[in-house]
Amino acid sequence: MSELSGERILADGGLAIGAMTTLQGLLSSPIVRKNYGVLAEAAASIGGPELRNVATVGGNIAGALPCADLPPALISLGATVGLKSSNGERFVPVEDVFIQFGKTVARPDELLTTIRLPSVSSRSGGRYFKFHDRQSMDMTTVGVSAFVTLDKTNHVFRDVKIALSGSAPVPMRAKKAEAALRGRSCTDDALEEAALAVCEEADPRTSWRASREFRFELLRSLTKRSVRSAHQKASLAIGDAP
Amino acid sequence: MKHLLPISLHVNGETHHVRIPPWRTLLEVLRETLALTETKRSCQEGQCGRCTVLIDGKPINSCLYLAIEAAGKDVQTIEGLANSGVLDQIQKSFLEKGGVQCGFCTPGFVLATKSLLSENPSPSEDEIRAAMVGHLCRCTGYVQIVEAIQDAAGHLKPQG
Repeated sequence: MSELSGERILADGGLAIGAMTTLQGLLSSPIVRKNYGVLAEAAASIGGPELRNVATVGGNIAGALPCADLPPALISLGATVGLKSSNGERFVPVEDVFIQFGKTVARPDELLTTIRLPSVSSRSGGRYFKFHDRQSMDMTTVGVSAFVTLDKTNHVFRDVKIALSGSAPVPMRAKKAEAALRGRSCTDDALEEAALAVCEEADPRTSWRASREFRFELLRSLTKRSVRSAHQKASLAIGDAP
Repeated sequence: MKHLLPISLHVNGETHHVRIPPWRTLLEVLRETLALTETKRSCQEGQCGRCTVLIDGKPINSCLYLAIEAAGKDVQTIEGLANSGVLDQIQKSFLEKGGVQCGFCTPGFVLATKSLLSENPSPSEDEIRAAMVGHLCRCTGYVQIVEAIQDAAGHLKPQG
């Protein structure tokens, strides 16, 4: 059981996180805070200390809730999960894990054992912004995670990954918005186009928490905020690099 | 009954050997088996913080925590805070600053404060509020509770 929690640096420079690592464990990990800040940010936004001391990374994924906060951060980082059974282990990208509300690709005999994060470039940065009614201890209405990698000299977007919570029956990646940004500078026009693209591909529902229309408004503004802020973070990282 | 599991629970420095069904929560075992009823049962879904206890010094909601998970760990409840009838400084500060009104939420707040101050002896108001987000109080409006925590921090801070 003990190998199911904690973290391990992989030979390829990535990081393996045990599925039973608590959110607090994730937050107290220096390497997560330093290299995967967007994941720490999403974990810190969940519940309060009492819940984060018990809630696990694996549980936040395996519940397959559309409003879960770790999946968008993990998708934008390009994470995969390890599903293990007596027949062996397979790795599935987090963006392909969710089938429908509350349902994942894990077969009945499979256990979610690890989460693998790829190594990150020193020209990258990620941010997660979410809207929730009470600012604590409540479920996410809409969340947007953006992880960007920039060109070293002119800071245009080399690679962009955007993922959403509260915006479809399952956590989802916004590929059209990513395409709208790739190769461009971080201008107001580029951000607006990306935000509109997110609204085209998202399919939020109306619930007592928020209407579909309000969620589109949130998506528009949170997408711009996340991407702009991720770009700033990556620019700072490039400035700091030797 | 064959589904009873024998476990040892270390609560407030005392060891209790109990036989319990594996699905019983720590809250149920504390209140119903060990008669430690100052840990309160309220929402039972991790929203209100009244059932907070410390496991190895860290706060958890005992309504969402199986008793068998606590086996072999150090459990602290509010009953274990006062020492031979002398209140802990955090309890004194809550009384002094009016942080206790009906008192139902108080055990949770006090234990969460204990954990907060052991990790961060001089928390800012924002840090105090962030540490208390999992605790609901319907009497005080939280202002006196924040003042009580600041007061306790002031008394407990290592001098010099």
